[in-house]
Amino acid sequence: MTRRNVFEDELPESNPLTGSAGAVPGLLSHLPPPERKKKRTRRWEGANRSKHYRGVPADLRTAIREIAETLSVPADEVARAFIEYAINCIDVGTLRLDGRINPRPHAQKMTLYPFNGAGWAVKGWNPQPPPAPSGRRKKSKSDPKAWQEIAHYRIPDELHERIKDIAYIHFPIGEVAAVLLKHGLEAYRAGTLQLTPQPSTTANVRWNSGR
Amino acid sequence: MSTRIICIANHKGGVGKTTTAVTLGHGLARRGKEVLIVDFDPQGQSATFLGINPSADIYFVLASRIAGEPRGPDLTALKQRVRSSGRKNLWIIPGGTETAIAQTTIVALAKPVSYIADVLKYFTGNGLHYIILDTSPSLGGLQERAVWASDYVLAPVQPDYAAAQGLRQLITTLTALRQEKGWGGTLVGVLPTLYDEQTRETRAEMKDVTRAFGNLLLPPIHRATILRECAAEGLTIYEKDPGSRAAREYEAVVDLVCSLA
Repeated sequence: MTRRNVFEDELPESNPLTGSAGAVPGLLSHLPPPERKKKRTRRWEGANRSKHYRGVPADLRTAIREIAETLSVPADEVARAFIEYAINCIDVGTLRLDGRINPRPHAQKMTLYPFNGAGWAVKGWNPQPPPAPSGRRKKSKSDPKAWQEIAHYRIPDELHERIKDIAYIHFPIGEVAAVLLKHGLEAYRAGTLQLTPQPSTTANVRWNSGR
Repeated sequence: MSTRIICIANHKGGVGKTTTAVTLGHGLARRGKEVLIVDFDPQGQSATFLGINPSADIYFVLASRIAGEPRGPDLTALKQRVRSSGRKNLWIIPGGTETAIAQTTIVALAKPVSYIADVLKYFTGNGLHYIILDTSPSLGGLQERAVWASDYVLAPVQPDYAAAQGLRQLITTLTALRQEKGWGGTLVGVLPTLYDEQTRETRAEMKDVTRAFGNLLLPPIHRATILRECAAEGLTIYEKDPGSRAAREYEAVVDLVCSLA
């Protein structure tokens, strides 16, 4: 006896709901295929990359994040508000950035022994320099370098360009961003700057103009 | 994300519907999804598979709308029917033999096909990601209404002629519900269970299923003694042996469900 295929043969009995009993491939054509989640393209993130600022202290970043959590807004927006406020202060003249030569002596470290010879002499006598201490001095890990502190904020390109303009060639951009953020934070804490969160409109809202 | 309702159905019994419902539920719960299993099978085995006692909870949930009180059912009493499974994120409304009484009453009173959908509305939302409906292996009134309430139907099928016949009848029912009753869901896949590729009959049956369902055929769940041991011990495969082949195979089903819109 030949093998039966239940999916392709016509059913002898009919279904109580329809009365039809066609082959399965035909029946399946009436059912839509299951919808899969659309994979995110991250196009917006690609077009709006976050900016990195080296030298923004951790406590400043933490303060910004805490304010953002309190206001239920992204930290990027708080940072943006602080920077915009500080730049506005620069524009109106209430904030001045004064560059100074780094007073720390090791920043301009000199040497008397640039090569093998000694850097001093007394009436023609030129002694050999003392031997350099062996082994490198172990660096303390307790105090991280300022340049190791990096902040990432997704702020508009125009604002980032303003920071770069202010920094020009004299200051590191990260340091300028840190100063602007700190100024904004101090103004916020003093009550001079007020942040007012608004409900955001979702992208799902659509309407027709009626045309 | 709105709550997605997934119905595990086949008109044939013993094809692994309850095992699939419980394992899928726990697999989703392990991924941080809030899952509610609703047992519409009068055998009430979803609860026993999870190591808890069957009860008449689903009967009371279904009966809450039969009376048709104008103010609606007591929501607090209704939500007390949701039991903890003892696993994180996994909840259950257990069933029992009383479910058959509710079914008879619903059919006798000619309640609409949307009856279960209306009942489940009380449980959707509240951070619940998935409701998994374990159904009975017959068209008696509850299964059609459970299918109608669901967004997706997953059909386990054992590769043999009788189970294939049950699947065929289920497909006919799904098509009818779509065409005649405006059901908005769809079949998400056919899951071969108790799969044993060593026999010629299994291979022949799988060939027929593959030809009929094409892309809707999911990777099979092999016959495994460990799954029977899980049922006996009241554990899921993820608790018994998460590294086993059965656990890995069910993970593929969990992946599929997670990928659905």
